Amino acid sequence: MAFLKKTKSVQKSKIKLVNVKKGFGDKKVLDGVNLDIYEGESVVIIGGSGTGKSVTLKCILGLLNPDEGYIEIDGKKVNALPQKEQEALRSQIGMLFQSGALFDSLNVWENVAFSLLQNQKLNRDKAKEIAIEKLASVGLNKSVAEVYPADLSGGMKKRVGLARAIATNPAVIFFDEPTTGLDPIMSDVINELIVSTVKTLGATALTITHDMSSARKIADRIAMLYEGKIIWVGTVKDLDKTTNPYVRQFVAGNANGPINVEVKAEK
Amino acid sequence: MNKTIQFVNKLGHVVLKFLKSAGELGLFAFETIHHCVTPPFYGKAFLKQFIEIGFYSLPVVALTTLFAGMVIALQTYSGFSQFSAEGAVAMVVLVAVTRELAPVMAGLMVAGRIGAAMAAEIGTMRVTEQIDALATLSTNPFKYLIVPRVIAGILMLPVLVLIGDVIGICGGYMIGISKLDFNASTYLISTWQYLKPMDIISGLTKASVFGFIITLLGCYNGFHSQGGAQGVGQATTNAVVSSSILILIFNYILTELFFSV
Repeated sequence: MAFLKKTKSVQKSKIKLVNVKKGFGDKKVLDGVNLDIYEGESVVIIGGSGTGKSVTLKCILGLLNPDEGYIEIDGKKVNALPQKEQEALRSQIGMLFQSGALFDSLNVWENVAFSLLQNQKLNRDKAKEIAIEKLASVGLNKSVAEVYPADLSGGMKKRVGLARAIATNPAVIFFDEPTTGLDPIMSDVINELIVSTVKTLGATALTITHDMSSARKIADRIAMLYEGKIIWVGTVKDLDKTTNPYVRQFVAGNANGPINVEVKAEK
Repeated sequence: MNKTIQFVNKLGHVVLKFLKSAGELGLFAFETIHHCVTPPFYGKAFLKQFIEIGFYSLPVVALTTLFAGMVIALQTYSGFSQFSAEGAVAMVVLVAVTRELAPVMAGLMVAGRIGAAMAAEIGTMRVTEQIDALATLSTNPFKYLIVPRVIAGILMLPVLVLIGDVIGICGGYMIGISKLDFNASTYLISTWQYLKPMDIISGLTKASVFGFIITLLGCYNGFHSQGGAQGVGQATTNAVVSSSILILIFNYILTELFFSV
């Protein structure tokens, strides 16, 4: 990881992954992931489907325990912490899920204000006020506040998910495939929202995606995950200059190259 | 020889799978109980489950225990009248309803209604990442989803059974006086005479245990469901089947504990 030390040696690591390994049964998903994410920067992890992007994110959140290696947030090892401290650590993290993961038993504003109501015990009027403010910041008006998630379109669900993720002004925000399933224009709207909210909050952001235009827009630095390892890290500018054949193939979206995509059924 | 090895291999897999599930369920139950006694508690989630289990299950429990009480009066009469022992009808209705029929009927009905709904709801939350979302919002899914359901099950099933006891006995009484020509006051007096607190208490204890079984298995199956719609369907079936079987097994065990001579 010499290239990291060279460029970012003075900055403080917000999230640090050290030799993280994780497997399910016989299948190795993560095979020694090393990555530093510095305070206030936006890192995007790119990689094909099934390369372990979501598993990486779940390990950082403490939803999955790595088999080997460790993850630090603010210098604290996530998986070694007792449950209460793990929950406290998570309270400074916001997450936008791929499908939105909105609670369908609650309406939009209750979803956005969930943490304010349940954990910070704000009264309902105050929580609703904040929720409506957050909804406005993602471009949704008051009228959707009382609607249930089932009645929202894909793009609106993502926006509500984003409003929920930023409701408590978190220091770290994770985005899981933020543009998947959206049309190109809505994708760009979401990308811009992500950039502006991260900037406004001054948060550290980690995004996983396979959408290159989204990655280019959101990222300060891009890391590529392949076969359970980070094989390349660099800025968006570096991305176009790199000679790494894996990265070049992925960025160009070529079927031919060193990355082999299994299209035949396994025998 | 090869086939024998294959058979033993398969048998071994089945046994291991069963032991693994039993162990997982045991750990799940332990974690649930641990969270039941440690704060924070989510008051609103509790209230919602109390209403869902206690209030909305009332019609099915009332109907089933009513007809159970009625049929037991008819059957006892037709059997006992052969020995001129018709006078025992009120007592038999009382004992059968309070000790067995009300708790078992209510348990099975609630397993179908509530156990299935819990497995489906929590299972859908699992496959749509809503449970992961809860964790990222610093809310422990056990405390927010499972504890309120299990506590509501343990507390509301006895309430339902107590109401079922009264309705079942009324069912027997209605048949007794309208069809079997019993004198209303004699029937009531003999019911009162044979009423023993232990019959009621044993039924209510059974109800609590059944409430725990139903909600625990509903939540466990939902919580561990995977693989989209099919997985949720499987979880729902498993929840109802396993809790119904366990209700019948524990009914025997508890009867043995309460009434073995």
